[in-house]
Amino acid sequence: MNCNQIEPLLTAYLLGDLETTARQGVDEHLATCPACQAALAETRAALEPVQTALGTRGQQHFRLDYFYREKIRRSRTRTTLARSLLRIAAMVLIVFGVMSLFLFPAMQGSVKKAKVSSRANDMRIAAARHQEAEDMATVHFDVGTVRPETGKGTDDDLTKHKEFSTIASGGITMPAALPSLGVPAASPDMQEEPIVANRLSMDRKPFGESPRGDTITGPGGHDGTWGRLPGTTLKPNGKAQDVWFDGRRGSLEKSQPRPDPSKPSSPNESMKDWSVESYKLAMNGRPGAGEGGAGSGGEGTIIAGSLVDEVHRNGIERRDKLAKQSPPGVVREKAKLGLIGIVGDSKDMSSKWTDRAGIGKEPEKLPPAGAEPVTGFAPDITKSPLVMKNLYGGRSEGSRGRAIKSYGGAAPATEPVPPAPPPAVQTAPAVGNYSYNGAILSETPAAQPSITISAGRTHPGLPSPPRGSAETSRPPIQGGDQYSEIPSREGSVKRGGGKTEGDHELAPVPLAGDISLAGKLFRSEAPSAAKPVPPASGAEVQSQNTVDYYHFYNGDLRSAKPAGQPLEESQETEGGKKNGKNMINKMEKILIPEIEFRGANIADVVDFLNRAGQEGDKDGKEDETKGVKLTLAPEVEKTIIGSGTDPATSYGDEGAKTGLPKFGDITFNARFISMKQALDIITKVSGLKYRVGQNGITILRPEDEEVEVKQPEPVLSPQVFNPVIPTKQNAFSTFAIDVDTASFTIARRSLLSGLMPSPNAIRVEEFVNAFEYAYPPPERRAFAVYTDIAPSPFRAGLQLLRVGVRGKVIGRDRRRVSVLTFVIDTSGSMNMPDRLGLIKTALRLLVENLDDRDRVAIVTFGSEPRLVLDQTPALKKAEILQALDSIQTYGSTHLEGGLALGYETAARHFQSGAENRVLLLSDGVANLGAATAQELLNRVEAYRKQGIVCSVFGFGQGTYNDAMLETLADKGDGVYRFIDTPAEAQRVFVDDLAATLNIIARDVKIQVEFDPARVASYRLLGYENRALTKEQFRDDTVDAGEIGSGQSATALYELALAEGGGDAATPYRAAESALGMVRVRWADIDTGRVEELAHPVRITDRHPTFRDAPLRFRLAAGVAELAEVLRQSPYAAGTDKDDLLGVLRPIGLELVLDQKVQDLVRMANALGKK
Amino acid sequence: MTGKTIPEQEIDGIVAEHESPLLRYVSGLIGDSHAAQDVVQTTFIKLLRQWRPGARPSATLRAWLYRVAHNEAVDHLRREQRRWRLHASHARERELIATPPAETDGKLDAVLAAVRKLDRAEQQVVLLRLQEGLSYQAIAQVTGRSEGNVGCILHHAVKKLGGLLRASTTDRTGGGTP
Repeated sequence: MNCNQIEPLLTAYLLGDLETTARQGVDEHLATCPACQAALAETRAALEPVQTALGTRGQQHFRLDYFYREKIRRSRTRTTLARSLLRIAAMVLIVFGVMSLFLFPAMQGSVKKAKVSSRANDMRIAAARHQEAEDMATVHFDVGTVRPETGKGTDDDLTKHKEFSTIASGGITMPAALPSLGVPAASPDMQEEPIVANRLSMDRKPFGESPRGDTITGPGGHDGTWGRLPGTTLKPNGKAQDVWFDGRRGSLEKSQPRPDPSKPSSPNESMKDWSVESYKLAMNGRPGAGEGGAGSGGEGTIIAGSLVDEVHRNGIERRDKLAKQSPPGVVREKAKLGLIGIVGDSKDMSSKWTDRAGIGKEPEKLPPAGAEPVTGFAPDITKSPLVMKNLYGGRSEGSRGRAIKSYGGAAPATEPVPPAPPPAVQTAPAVGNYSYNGAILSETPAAQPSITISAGRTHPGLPSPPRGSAETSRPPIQGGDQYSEIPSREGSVKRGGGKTEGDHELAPVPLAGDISLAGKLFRSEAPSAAKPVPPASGAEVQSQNTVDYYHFYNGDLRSAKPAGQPLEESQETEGGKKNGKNMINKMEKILIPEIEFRGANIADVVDFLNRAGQEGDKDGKEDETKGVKLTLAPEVEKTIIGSGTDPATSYGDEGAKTGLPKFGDITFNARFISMKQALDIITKVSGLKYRVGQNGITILRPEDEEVEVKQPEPVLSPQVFNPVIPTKQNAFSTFAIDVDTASFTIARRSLLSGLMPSPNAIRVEEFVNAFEYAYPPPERRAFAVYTDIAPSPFRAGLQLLRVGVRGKVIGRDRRRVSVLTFVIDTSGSMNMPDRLGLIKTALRLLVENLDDRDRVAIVTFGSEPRLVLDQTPALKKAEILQALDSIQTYGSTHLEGGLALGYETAARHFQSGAENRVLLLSDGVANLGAATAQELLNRVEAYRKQGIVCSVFGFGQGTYNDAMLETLADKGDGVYRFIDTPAEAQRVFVDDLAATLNIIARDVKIQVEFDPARVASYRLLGYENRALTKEQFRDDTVDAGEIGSGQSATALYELALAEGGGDAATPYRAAESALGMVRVRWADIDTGRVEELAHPVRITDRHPTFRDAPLRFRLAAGVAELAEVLRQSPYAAGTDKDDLLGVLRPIGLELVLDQKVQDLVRMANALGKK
Repeated sequence: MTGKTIPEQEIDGIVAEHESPLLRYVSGLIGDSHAAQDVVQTTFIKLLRQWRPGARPSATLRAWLYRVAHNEAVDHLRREQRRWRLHASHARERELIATPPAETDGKLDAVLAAVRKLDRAEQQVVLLRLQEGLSYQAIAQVTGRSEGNVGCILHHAVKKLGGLLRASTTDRTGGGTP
């Protein structure tokens, strides 16, 4: 055998695969042939790793996933038709099963609601019994039609009342002779759809035969207006009255005895009384309507309304028609919906109506107004009329009783059951009280929350009640003696000319159980009620009827949950004020169990409220901000007297000197009041006011209005735009490198949440550098420079020059030890999931990724700085994480103190040769004066010179002091990053860890020199606040940017190329193709040596058209242009959304997986069309 | 077709016996475990389609399965190729963007990566011989080549692999030191 024959056998030989003869042959040959021996060795070397690796793999076991196995199994038989039918059937079954899972609880829910008012059931029973006893068969009630007020009765309005059907069976009787209605028998079509409770009387004689032809008048006895029930129209008509439930017409007819035990009704008497079975509790805050509640009624008094669940349009039409037919003089109720009815022979219904509190009271406690007590106001709250139907529909007494019982009612007794007093009345304990200007004020609890709330409060949108009735309009306390008058709204409350955002309609105190339902009822009216509130105009924030709000609930409210969901509907109504409104709503939902201030100063009070707000905000979702941020306006802060915990300070002195009013000595006690109420009281007591801003509530002096408007505005650097510079004037463009990305992150957050970012917050370079451009890292030197040129897609005739610089990549093992001092802002404003929560997430990530050699210290600062964790090796991860978890928010923002302590700690543990770094994590809401800020910057700069650098991480959107944070990072030689999501935290703290912590070069400067012969003019996009002069480039004392391991920075120029050749005196004649020269100068971080690198911009870098340019070049161009548009650069004035999308969309399609690029496209999409 | 139903246990038996080597083999070829599952599934389904009533697994079943799986894998790769080309540049960029890869031991990955750079026939032989431990005779059955040819291909493949691996290790160490 010769070598050629042997060679291919070598592998087999090594593997032992050869047959004996062949192996012998090879052996023989190998013994004599050195060449083949070498080949064998080579083969062995190659084979061994492969054999080991693959052999190991050969031992591994793999299994098909279940899904695939199943597919194989199934493939053995063809799926038959029957099988697929079976499958479909199974699916249907599953779907039904799932649906019933959801439906069943929902049905349970309505059953529960039906149970809510057992009292109503009692009364129903009584009514039913009485009715049978008296055989009121001939009585039909034909009160009228509920009809939306003209022009307002849109479906929309009505549907807002959807859930709040309240049907009560009142102990209200109808006059036997149904004279007033003057209408004959129930119309046939009414019979078509009998609903609700009418079945009871189906077998009875139509009442239309009543001899009398007179008319029932409303309690007002006039056209119109019922006490506090505006917005509904009650129209009697010739037919059985129509009450529309859920788009269907129901007729209510029934006479019931008034179950007033004290006054058994005789048939005769009760014949005079009418009752409408269902009444509406809706209080429509429609101003102007419903004021004339007074006036003596005729024979009939309509009390309550029906609940309209959802009125279909045809229903409305029909009612309108009926309304037209109705005879004049009938009860006409301008209620918007739901009406109401009742009646009674009330001579003095008016007083009852005005005395709104009476509604919820027990009959016995009613003022003996001569009128019969209006009973039966306990609402029966059911979701659907069907419930009622089942209760009454054609059942025998026995089964009805059972049915009622099953809904939580009492079984019918043999005697008429007197209505149980409203539960809340029975249990309502003493009310909260507070002292106000020294006087102790007690407030009654709302006797019957569900009614009283709506009736007892004045809606701001409603006209004030007549002055004379101010007192009566307040619910008398049960037992009377505890009741003392609250200052009426004319009292010491300052009234402003207009209303402000703070002037919202009253919202319910959080209520539990049926109480919350009441809140719901009330709130359900809010949308229409809120409408008339004019935009903020005056200075006065106190809502004029604040005082009316001071209902303090007690007792069972302790366990009350904030009535969250029901409110949300109304929260979304007014787009413009949504934010402030949400804030108010939230405040209203926050329940403070107890407040006791004695001579407290406003700062302490605000601090307390902030904490209480965070504790009390039980339904703040994860992604939402929790609590309400209260801040003191600086002016107020300055004038605080050291009356509380603070001893007299210079602040106090200053206040004294300047003669400013002093705000302090707040004294009041309250229990279970909402935060809003508390704030209202506090501001009133202290003579201050508050403003609801976008990001929180600011307490300010009455006279500081204008100043404070600006306060919540983010602090941003002023806008500068790099000019177009003719190359002949200045051929050098010099700037410090910048690898920050915060501006992009911030803008992304606001744009994607629907807000235009402030133009001042846009920094083009941070946009551009937020993206990766895939520059290959340099092999040997610290930096590699890349340049390319393509025509600008946005401005014809101009070229875009991209200058990319990428630093070398330091492997993890070569990383320097990091000595990190975290300075974490733990002020109250940080207590939100996207702030402190995110910080904890981020730091946990970072700590997990630290080397054991690294060291960590944690300083927090709220009102005062605290060293939470002294320098600890990252080895003890558990210890660090534990310290991290223990961080809580408290107090105000003492940034200066925090940084000072942080630097002190860092200095104490300074390690030379290590990465000594202070990392500030803050939302940037620092109350710093300009002088303090400068001092702070000086300090940061001083420490930087000693080798401690400062990185800044911004969290939370809001009143961040963007400029301040950026300057801090700039001065501290660190990066400034904004972190808004856990993903961003991951990116910054884990993926970019090496870069964030491993600066490879500092004072990195870039200078681009253009050849005037070839470039007529240039404009640098961005880097405005990084600009340097030509001379500073070589001045190594000038502080410039830093670049971390593997980081890159990109700058874009817009060039106008010169026509023709140009003059001869250019430095680039030798390199004909060069348009210019890019120079990078930096100081090596390890050696401190200053190095410089030059890279020519060659004409060969030029791409003929923009579309030919590389993907990432186009990306850079698009990003920069988006930034230009966002900051309203005059140069980008001609660019609109379509231009941007034209560039960005194809990039988005190509880089589908790059979330940031996708975000970019969405951002461009979010731009308004120009 | 109901009459031809194969007893379920039998299918399970066949699948259980062959799934692991097939998956190993296919994922070695195409380097994507999910796609490998797809390919192997298709292979088994093809087997079941060809089933005749009363058939029993024969000695050549394994070779048949390898062969079908190989063809399926190659089909898969062809289908994917176009997409690959599209993504290749992105992948390269991603490599540049990404922070330096974690230095895992990764010898196996390196070998597999190298294997994937071989010709199809070479991949087949290398994986079948060195990973799956098939005899030359069995490989010859699978590939339809002669045993001598298989040996030849294997030898060349091993030599190539040696070169590739050497290159990749110098790459890595060289790249790491600036």
